[in-house]
Amino acid sequence: MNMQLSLKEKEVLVSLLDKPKSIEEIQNKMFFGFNETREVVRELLKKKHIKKEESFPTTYSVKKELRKQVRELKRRIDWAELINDACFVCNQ
Amino acid sequence: MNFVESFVEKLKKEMNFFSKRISHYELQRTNGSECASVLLSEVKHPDHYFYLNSNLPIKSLCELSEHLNEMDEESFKNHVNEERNDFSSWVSNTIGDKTLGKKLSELKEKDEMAKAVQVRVDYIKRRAEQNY
Repeated sequence: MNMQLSLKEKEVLVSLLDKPKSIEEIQNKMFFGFNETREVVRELLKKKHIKKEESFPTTYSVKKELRKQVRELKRRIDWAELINDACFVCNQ
Repeated sequence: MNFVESFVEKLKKEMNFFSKRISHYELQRTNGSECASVLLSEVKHPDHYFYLNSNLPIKSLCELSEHLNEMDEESFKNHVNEERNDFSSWVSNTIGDKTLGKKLSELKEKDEMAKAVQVRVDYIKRRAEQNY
C-alpha cells in the first residue's frame, strides 16, 4: 500500500489513526494549507484508504482493514523522537 | 629540507584539526548548544565527507538535507537499499548524531529521509538559538 503514497498522504493517514478528524483538524495538526489538505484527503478517498464517518460526515477515518499497515507506518514516521529533549549525542 | 618542512607543516595541521574537535566525553558533559554547533558544523577532513555517486561531497547535516531533496531516485537507491544505508552510517559515525542515525536506518524512502533530516536540523537549530 504505502509504496504508492506520497509523504503527505502517509502523514495524513497516520494523523487519522487515533480518531476521526475533519479537514480543519488535519490541517491544524499537519501545518498544511486548507486546499493542500483537501487535495490530499480527496486523493486518499479516491484510493479508498480513508472513509467518511457515517455519524459525522465531515470527519474522516482510516479504513479498518488498513489500520494495521498504518500503525506500522506510524512507527516509522514518528518525527517526535527526533525532537526529544535528551542530549543530541548521547540521547540521555 | 623542503620535504621536512612541508611534512612538519602537514603534521601541525593534522594535530590542530584533532585538538579542535571535541571528544565524545566532553559532548556528553556540555549537553546543549555546544552539541548543536558541533552537529551542525561541517566535517573538516575530506576523508570524512560523504561522497555521492556523482562525486559530490556532502560536509554537513544541512547539506545532506538539501541534497536529499534534489537527489534522483537512482542515486538514492545506490546508497540506500536492502543491504546498506550509507546515510544512516555516516550520520551516526561521522556526524555523531545517534538519534538521527537510528531513525534513518528505519527509513527506506527518499522523501521520508529528507523530512527526517529537515525535522532534526530545524530542531537542533532552535535548541542552539536558545543557548540551552
